[in-house]
Amino acid sequence: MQMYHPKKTLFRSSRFWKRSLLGILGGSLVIVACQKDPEITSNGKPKAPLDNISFTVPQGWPAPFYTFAGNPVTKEGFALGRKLFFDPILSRDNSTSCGSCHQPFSAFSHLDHNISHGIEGKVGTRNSPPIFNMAWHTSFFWDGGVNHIENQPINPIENPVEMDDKMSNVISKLQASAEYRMMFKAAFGDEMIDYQRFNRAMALFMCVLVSDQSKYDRVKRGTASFTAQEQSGYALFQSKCGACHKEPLFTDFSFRNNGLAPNAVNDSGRAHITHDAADLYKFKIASLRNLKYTYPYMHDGRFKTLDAVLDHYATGIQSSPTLDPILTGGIALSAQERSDLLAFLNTLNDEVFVSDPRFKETN
Amino acid sequence: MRTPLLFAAALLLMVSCRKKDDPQPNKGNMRIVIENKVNNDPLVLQTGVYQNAHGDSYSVTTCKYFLSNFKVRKKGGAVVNVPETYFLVDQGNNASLGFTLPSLDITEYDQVSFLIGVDSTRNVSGAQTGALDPSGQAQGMFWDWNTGYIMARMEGSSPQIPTGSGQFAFHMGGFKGAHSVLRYVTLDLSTAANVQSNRTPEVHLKADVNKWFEGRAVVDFSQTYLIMSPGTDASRMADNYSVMFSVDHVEN
Repeated sequence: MQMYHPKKTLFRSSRFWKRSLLGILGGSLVIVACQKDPEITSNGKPKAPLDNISFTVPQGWPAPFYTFAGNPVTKEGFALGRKLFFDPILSRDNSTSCGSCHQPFSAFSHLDHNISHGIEGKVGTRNSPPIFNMAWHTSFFWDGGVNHIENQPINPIENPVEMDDKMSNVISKLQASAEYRMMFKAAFGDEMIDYQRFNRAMALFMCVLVSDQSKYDRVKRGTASFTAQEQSGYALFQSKCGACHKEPLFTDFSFRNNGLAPNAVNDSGRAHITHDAADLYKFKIASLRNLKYTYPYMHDGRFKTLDAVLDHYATGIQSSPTLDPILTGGIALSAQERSDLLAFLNTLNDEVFVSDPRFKETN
Repeated sequence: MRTPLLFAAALLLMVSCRKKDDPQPNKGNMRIVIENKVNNDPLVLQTGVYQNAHGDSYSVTTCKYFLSNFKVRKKGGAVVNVPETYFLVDQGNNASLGFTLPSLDITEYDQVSFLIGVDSTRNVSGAQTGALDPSGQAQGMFWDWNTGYIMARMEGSSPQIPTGSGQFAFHMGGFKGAHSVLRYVTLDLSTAANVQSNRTPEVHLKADVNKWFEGRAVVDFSQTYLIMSPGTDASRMADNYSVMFSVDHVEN
């Protein structure tokens, strides 16, 4: 009995090929029409290519805290997180995005703002912290109240003085957007949009923001050298600042009272979370990277300049039961020493990071 | 020659298309049904009026708690962990008062145990889904500013409360160290639950709301009416309600 070979007969048929071609053409049109390339702006201009988006631990740095478990870095996930980050749809009246207070040219802090204005011009009580090297942070916010970066975005979104929306409402708005459904599908495999996916996309964007291209980093990699002044400043830094501002991230992520006098806000800092009197007026140690772009300084932005900061450490430290013992005597610097230290701190500014086109708003 | 292959492929397709929680052969389900009561009276939100051990009369507007990390003990045998069991019991949502422990071995079970609350690992593991989704089921049961779940939440009113609103709100949170409010409950089933592939036993549990207010510390509403953070008050109340569950009956 002769076996029927449908394959042989089919592929020889020109009718098959004509129909297939039509089908392919038709299908392609549909695909092209539906798929907005997230790398093309709405006016057709190409955005910065994202093929090199990755997360790599810089040489000599410790292992990050965020493991990307269940959330591998992809350019689609990054593009989605970036779009969400700069989209005011996350706010109740579509006015305020994360990018409103976390600006790329300011290392993702709020340039020249001690405290930020959120929705309807409302203000909070704390300085907008920069966003870089987040994968190494073991807690978030000045009081460390948030223990995982995937649970950080709900805070500004639901804060009445920041974005004043409900997380569930934000997710509904995203679900109603064909473009977001397509981007979620590109990032996660299907159009389902939920709390976990939203925050994983945000985490991808935030954790890919690694700042390791400063002069200091190049010196450490052996591709640059400190000037004599910078070298002196580095030695001063190591002896007078390095215990708290630990290299290479320039913070040990712990909470310390650095002698800032409480003001009318009377921000209890870490104690607000732990309810432990021993934590009163302690705040998370800020990184010293990118200081050029992140003024004003401290949890409430009270110091506009680094000179003001160094004046504080020299003669402005307020004594209190929770003052960090390392600061009891203050930090005295001669004029020359101050100049040298500032020269060193300048080597921590990462011009590449703040001007990276991949990290900017693309619309 | 081709037909057996096709048949095998079809079979594979059928098998792979089966819904996740259809019991496989040699597996069955156990249903847990919760009845919230005050002593022996059914808990009726808003309108029910009750009396606690201190003698204070009160009514309840919200009664919600997480039950998770279920384990079941085979009669005369081993304790088995039931993976990924997280349920939010909400007196205001009838559908949440019963839930299924899936994919259990076919046998009799004489003990059920579970955590009141969400285990500490889940509290530090980032964005969660399902019953633990802060934007969905867990809305109102999650502290965003101090990451962690509200393990149990009871709200209501009492004439004894000295504030203008006369309302109490007990938000039990905290999963670390001495102030953790996580409490593990172990209940023996005098009538064993018989799990079969075609029959699902129902284990009916009773939760006595009054137990929140007595035991480790008798609650005097004129003094204690607001708990919104981890601490001694919260962990004492958790000690109280750790004994609120009992087995009412088992239906095989």
